[in-house]
Amino acid sequence: MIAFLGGFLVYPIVLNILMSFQDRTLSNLLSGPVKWVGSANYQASFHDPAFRDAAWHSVLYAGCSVGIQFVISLGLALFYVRRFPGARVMRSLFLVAYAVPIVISAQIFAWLLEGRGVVNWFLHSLHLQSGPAYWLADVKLALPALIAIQVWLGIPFTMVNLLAGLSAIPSELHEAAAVDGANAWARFRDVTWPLLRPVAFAASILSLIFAFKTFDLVWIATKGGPGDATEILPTLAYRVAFEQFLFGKGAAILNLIFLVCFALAFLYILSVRREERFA
Amino acid sequence: MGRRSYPARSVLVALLALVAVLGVTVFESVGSAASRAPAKTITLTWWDYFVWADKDVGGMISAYEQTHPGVKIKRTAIGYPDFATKYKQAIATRSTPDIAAFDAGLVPTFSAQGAFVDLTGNAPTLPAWKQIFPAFRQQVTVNGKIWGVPMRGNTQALMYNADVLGSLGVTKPPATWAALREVAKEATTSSRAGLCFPASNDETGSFNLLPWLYQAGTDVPKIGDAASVNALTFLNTLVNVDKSAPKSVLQWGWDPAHQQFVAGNCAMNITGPWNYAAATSQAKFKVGVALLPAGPAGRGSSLGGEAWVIGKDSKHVAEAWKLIQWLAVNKNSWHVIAGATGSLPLRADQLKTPEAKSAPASWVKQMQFARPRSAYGVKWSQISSVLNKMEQDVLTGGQTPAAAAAAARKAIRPLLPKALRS
Repeated sequence: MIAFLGGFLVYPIVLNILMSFQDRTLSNLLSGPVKWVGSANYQASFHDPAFRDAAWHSVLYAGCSVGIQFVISLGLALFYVRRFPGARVMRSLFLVAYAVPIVISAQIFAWLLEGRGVVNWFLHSLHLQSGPAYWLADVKLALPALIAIQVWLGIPFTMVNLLAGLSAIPSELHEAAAVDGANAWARFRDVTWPLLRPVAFAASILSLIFAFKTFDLVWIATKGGPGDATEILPTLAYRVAFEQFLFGKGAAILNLIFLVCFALAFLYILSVRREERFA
Repeated sequence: MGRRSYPARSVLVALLALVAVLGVTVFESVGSAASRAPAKTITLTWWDYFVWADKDVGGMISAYEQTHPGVKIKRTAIGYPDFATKYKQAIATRSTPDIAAFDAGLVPTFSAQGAFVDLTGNAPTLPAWKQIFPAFRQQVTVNGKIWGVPMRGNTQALMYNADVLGSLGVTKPPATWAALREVAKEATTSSRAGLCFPASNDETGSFNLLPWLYQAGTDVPKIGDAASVNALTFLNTLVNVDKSAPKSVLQWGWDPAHQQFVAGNCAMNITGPWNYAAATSQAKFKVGVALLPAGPAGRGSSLGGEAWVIGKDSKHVAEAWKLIQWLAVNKNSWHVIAGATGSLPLRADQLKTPEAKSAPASWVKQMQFARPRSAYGVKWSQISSVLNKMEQDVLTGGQTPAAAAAAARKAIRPLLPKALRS
């Protein structure tokens, strides 16, 4: 276990941290003389307006997509936890969306959202639109469009988790509450939600981690464009490292992403531990 | 809930991982042992991105193998969008291929990263070297050192739907910016754009921005001047004022723009000769090709193409050089390079060949006005990103042409070689 963790986890992380304090290009990436530059890479990042924009976009992207995704998933989970014909089949169909590789989903959405794409055609047919909206080529629409795609991608995972959490709530509690005169909203507020909260929290933290470190969706759909309207920290790190060959600076940005995800993961473990203690 | 017992499960996971790693290592070494040919045969690794010309390039390689027993060539075709990334990985892991057909525009940047073998001594010894047009030789020369042998050349031209233009009463394709604007406006309908071109957020986008700058009378080191603002204003007019070019161009690389043209959704498209055969065979209309319209300062376009390079980690440099010498002979390679991969003549001794005569004359003529990107130094990749941002900011309406050009000037200046900074 130690060897496994050491080889696949600790070594790359330590290497990346070291690299963020060095001046590395392609020629001395894996071997060769290396200059130690201290915190210069981090300082350069913090002073770079592109970094600040990307950080803000990352927060917006992760926060909004997880928030919206949670509300929709909760609604769907509450709907599908009931027993009606076809419920189980329809629940499983959501997982098909989850099984499609993100690379493919991203490319298909990029086509759907084109000027002449299906989405515009649909909106135009419903008379909700006068001219074509360039979803991924308009500075104001690109990030919201990507958030919408991320919501679509994230719903299956969150819904499945919430469904599992809802199924674990004993139906006797609902029945008892109903007998006591509680209406649907009161039942949800006082029975369902308190018992669902740990699962909801855990699922949200995990979704936040996934959304914060998303790269493939944004890169394939817009490459961080138009301009840098959809540049998020992972795409910025990729550009800096692999297009400008500034591996030290790229490592610095990646470490900051790692810190955020690590903090979120720590929160997750804390919540699971708390859950185990009270169980 | 009691404390779950972790040890047994985690030991199993660790064992599985260990087995997987061992399995892959053993498999790899067995595989390479099997492909390790008898001592006398040398295997050269060859990379290119001519994925549409597999058969012909493969045929060319077989011809070499047959006439050179003792040499086997292992070709890997990688699509253009992934090629540079894979090559960077190869540089970092010290496994660059023996020979590669490398994007000539990126040769200066990659040479500075220690990617290639210095060919300064070898290249001029080629009988064909003096035949290669100066712009192509310039493209692979950095500070007096030669890093590759130009093998394929291209530039942009204006491809148009002759039927649509004919129906509008336009007998000759637009030859100036003013005419281009007129024709594009007239040809735009609710289901068709007048003009399409690639303006994506990458090298393709900057490759296609440069011609407009040249035609306006400016150049990369002079961005920020009135001519550059003029060029950006013209593009902004086409996309945001006349709306004769769709905003989607910001997402389009070569292929999407070309496909829109072939589908009849664009009356005109700016593209390269490699799309000509596909356009004429797939389009349901007559396809015409013309020179890029002249701007206030005349004509201009970007020099594209590839050069043969030898990877720094090659263990068979002499053999790789022999292969390049063989490929540099027209008789051995020109038919495949011109025909299958879609190259324009890049050497004087290719101008009178049947392949050159069958390429649309406009492209061949446009080559005279093509300028190499090597002129801007080894930090071209970063300059290219700045140009992308400048164009995208203007076309999205995020910045005025003047502000975008000024911001770009500030960002480009430190990236240029000292001699070019004004």
